[in-house]
Amino acid sequence: MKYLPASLRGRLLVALMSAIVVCVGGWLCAYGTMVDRQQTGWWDSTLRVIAHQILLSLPGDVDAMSSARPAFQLPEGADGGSLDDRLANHKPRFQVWLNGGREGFRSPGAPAQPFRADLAAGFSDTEVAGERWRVYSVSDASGRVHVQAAWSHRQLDAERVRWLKLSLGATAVLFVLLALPLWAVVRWSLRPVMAVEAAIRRREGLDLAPLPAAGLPCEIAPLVESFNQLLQRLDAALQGERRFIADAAHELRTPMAALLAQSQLALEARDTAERDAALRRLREGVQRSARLAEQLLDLARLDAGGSHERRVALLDVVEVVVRDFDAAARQRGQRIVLELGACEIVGDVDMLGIALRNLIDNAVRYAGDGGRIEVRCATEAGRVRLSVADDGPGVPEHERSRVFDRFYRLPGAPGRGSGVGLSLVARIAEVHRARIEAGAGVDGRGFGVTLWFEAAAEPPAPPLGASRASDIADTRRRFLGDPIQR
Amino acid sequence: MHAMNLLLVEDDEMLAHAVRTGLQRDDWRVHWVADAAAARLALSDHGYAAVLLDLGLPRGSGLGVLQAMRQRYDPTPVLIVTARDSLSDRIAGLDAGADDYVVKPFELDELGARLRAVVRRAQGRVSPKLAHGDVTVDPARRSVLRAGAPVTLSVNEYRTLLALMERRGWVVTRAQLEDAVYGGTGSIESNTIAVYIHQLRRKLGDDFIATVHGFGYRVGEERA
Repeated sequence: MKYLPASLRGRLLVALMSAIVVCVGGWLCAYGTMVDRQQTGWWDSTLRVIAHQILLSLPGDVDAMSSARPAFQLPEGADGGSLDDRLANHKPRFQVWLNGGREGFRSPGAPAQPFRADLAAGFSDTEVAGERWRVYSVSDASGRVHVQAAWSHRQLDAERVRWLKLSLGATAVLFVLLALPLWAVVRWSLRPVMAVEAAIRRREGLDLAPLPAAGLPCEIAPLVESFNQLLQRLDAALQGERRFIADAAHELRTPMAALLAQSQLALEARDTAERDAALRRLREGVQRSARLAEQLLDLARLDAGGSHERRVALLDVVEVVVRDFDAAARQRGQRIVLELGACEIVGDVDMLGIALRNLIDNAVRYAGDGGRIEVRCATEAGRVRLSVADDGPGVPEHERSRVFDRFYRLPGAPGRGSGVGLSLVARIAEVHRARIEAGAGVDGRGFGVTLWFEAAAEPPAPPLGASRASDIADTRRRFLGDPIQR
Repeated sequence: MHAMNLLLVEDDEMLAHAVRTGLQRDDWRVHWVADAAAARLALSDHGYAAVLLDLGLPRGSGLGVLQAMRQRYDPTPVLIVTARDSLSDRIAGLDAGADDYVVKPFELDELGARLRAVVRRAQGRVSPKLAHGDVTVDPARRSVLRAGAPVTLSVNEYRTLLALMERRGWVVTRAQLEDAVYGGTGSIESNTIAVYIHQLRRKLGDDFIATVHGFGYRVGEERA
């Protein structure tokens, strides 16, 4: 296959021309054979006609004539001049034989020996005096006279060769005449593809402009279109990233400035007490900045994509994450209430952990001293409902839809939030194809966020016989509506 | 309290130095190793009161150290150190037999407190295997078998079961269970113990754990 030219045009051209050659060649062979057969038939019938005519024209006393006598000559120009030599050579010869092997007479150019030695009637091919002849032999009814007419095979073969040369010549001309239009048509048809190729070659660096897709054949069009769509998505992603970097840099500047100021204060403190106070504030500032940086990292990583999804027991995730806030909540006299069920979903453990962390962090921070935070998780009708609610100041209804926007902070609220936390949660919900809603919190007060995930399918029954019995019991209870014994 | 030996497995030198200094003030004798191979060597040569293991060691070798310990029936309490954003690491570590965790960046105070809690809990621990019905619990290996086949339990389910099995025949109150599972509730009010009991019943048999209304739960026949 490496002998094929590399370009589509080249291949098409070569393929078409080869096909033409093969077809024409085949046709020539078939036609040639047919013509040859026809021609042979004509030659043979000509011989027969000549022989019969000669026989019938002979005078009855030809066997009494003597063989030695002068021949006649044709007048000048009667032969049609030497129009072509082959016509001059292309003549049948004949011999007339009398009984007893005596020669009657023969045409000029016919050999002295009989074409056919045994003078038997009919067609045959013989060799006489080094030349091959196609012979037709006939005897008269009484058997006294024998006429033999023959074509020289050399003449016949020459005739065939002439015909072959003519055909090949015509084919070659046809070939040459076709080549140019074929090449032009192929080139014209593939023009849109060549345009795409040229456009790709011209491209440089991170050029995200779409490729020309107009007029492409339907084999290539989907390819180029999907490529263009990919470029579009890439472009959007890059834009998003640039925007994010700009926003993040802006967001980080303020806390950093505060850190700088606080450390300055600490250095310029006049006594240990003042220094300690300044250092404590600095520490808080560092914690705040660290938190923001982590959230931004999470956001960037989420945008970069790639999640590792598997079966997750939300129960475990909530438990582990909530315990992290135990100390902080205790310090502020807050109460965290967990109402959890065995909720199983399919998702990324780390992402879900980040989402929960941000939700609970928000709740703990906004609930205030002595506040109450409720985390609920339940499976309802094939969906898992997860909610985190606090009884803090809450978010007014008209702002609720905007809280999930990036870097959105509640106007009027003291700058405690980074504006990133809830947008992280919203993005994680999106990745998990979960519905998210902001609403009222504990007992209608405060702020609450609810997520609805699709519940993971029931795991297959464990192999042990005994435990299957308990599963069956469970199933029976579920269907018969008995409450589960605790 | 006389000085106790602690094995610190941490590959970051700066952090290791800070932790060592901080813990030594708390009367810990800290033996520091910087990679998993050295940790395994140290564990086979010496006994420690506790191990502080960074799961972020290169190529997941940290978890390997923990798993090898439990395979060898080494019941030394292990406190794992995990990255903040890697919840799956944390859960994997707990499932593999860690006793508790701290998250980077952590406060030295919190680290000290958790270490003490972990050691205290370990001291009250019963090491030999516990069995009831067709269920066997091996605390040293943190494995649970039912009729010879292993049962998968989350870390909290396991701790609930262990607490009940250790007091077989006695009623264990919800508060006691919460203490055993979480090390005290603090500010958190949770119904999850009930959920764990339900899960355990599903996995080990409905009759395995009896509810004693108004008091708590019990495994096995009531002892006089």
